[in-house]
Amino acid sequence: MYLLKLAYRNFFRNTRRSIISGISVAIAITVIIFAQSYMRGVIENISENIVRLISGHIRITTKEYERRERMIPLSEALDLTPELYDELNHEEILMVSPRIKFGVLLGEEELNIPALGYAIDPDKETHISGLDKRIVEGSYLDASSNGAIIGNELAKRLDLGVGDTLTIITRTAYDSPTGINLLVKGIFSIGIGGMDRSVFYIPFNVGQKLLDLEGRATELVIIVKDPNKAINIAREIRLRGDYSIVPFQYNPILKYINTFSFVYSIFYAIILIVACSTIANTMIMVVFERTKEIGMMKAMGLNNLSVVGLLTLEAGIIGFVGSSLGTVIGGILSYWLKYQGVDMSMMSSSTSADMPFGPIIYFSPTPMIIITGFLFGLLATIIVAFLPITRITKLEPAKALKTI
Amino acid sequence: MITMIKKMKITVISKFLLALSSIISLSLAQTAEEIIERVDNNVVVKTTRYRAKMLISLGGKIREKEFIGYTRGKEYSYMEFVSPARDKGTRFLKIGDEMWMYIHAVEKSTKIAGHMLRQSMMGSDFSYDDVAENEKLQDLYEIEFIGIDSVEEKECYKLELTAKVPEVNYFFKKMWVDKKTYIPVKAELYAKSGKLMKEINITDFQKIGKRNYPTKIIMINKLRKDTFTELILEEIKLDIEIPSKVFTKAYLERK
Repeated sequence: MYLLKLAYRNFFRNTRRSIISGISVAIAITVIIFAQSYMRGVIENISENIVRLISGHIRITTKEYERRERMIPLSEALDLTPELYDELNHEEILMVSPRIKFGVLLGEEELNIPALGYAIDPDKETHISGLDKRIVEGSYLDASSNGAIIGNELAKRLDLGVGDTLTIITRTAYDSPTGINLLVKGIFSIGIGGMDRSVFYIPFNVGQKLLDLEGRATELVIIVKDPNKAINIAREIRLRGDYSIVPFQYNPILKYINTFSFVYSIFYAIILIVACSTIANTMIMVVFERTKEIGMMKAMGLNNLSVVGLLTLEAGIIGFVGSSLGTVIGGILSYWLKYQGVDMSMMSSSTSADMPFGPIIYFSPTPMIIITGFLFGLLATIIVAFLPITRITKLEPAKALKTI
Repeated sequence: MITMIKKMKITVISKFLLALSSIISLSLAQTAEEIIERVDNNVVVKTTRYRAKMLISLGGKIREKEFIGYTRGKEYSYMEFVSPARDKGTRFLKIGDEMWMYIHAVEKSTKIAGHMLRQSMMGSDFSYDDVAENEKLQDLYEIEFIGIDSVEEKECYKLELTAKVPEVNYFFKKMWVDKKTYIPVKAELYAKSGKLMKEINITDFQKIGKRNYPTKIIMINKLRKDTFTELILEEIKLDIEIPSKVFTKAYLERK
């Protein structure tokens, strides 16, 4: 207690230096909490977009389709048999929706605008992709009519508006040329560049007929009650046939982003080390400045442990104050941006359809991020300060008293 | 003295053999060109009108398509699908190196980009270029006589054709020409890289005038798995008058 009082008083002996050291720790902790909350927000945003727009919680395709997915091989579509739906009768599964993804070249005179078409069940998709809420002009798809909804950027490129005719010329699953004229019913804006620039949606039955895929779909999208159980549910699904059953957590983009998070951890560590070097520097100066004083304290009977303890407490106070300040600022900023969100549409407008990022990133701080941020700051300060402090133990009181 | 006579004999014999081999190779070269000329005389026509049945076998399942075709020289070609119902009204027009496709369902024609002409036509093993091809082989390839071989018990001339102009569908061909009919009963088609792309077998022909014209062609795309296409030509009319309007965009886009 006595040492704590002494350390507290010493904190104010060179207030400016203590404050500067504390602020550097505070800045580091603020950045770390802010960056971690942002990264978590990005991952959650991409996960949500993957679930909504790409794969649902679990996606089923044939293995061959998955293997050659980049080519969009319609010939490897799966058969929508009653047996398949029976096998997907799982108490945790809320919804199973078929989709057909197909590539086309669009254009008035020459087919030179590559685009991606999705044939979807309009009613089910309102619960999955929520496209009905993204319509900015016209209306949403209707299963009974030959209509299409197209991305706002694609509409601009094709010079199409609501009520115009979208001509689709593509190839069937058997590689024959095929085409259809569809009425543009609505224009959507998802805010993800790749989607708005190159995607259109048509009713599922229209897509099946167009692509000669009656009774078939390229993929089945599954929505489950608890997304956290998607991996286990995917393992539990038993299908007769060569199918690929992939939970959204195993999506290659998410795997890639998670790998990237590791790189970010290294970045956090570097920030912390830089900040702590200020503490180390402060403590080196303290040790040099107060060598005489420490020598006297030792001569008066204070043992090494107490001296080290005193100086460690001094560093600890700086770390505590800096970390607390950083935690409060980082926490407040992150929680504010959790509700406010950051509009990333400038950035997301240039992403591809394969990288569903944006348009608004909501930060995702957790108590764990806040607490670990604080503890990291405190511990790192103490550990870094400890090295110069241990020099004191080698100091002889008589020699120390003679230093100028 | 005897040794000298022996040496002279050997020299004379070797010179004779050399001259003989030159004569043989010269005569073979002529033969190769002659063979190809006779092949060209059979298959390259001024104009054609035909009805074709295309049986596309994919993974054991066979799909049948029918179309009517018109060809004039190497420049003009027109095809119109008449069955099945989903393909009815799909038309193709090729003028020189350009091709347009008309899809009845959208009532619109679109130009097929150059590289797409080498893609599968209507899901078959034939490309658009394969079907529209009507150019003399001797104008496109250097021909080399390889020897005599037999295909399906038919005695054939085996030839190797290497492209001498860049505008060819296949850089290298191995061809087996029936000695009796001058029909190329089998051909292997290779890319410049040496990769085998396709194999053609002509299994039937019809005597039309002086020509032996192929009527049943089996194409196997070696780049696809478990597939082949049989093209059966019927109602063939050769060297007839075809109205010029057939080879126009207006005719292609007619309602």
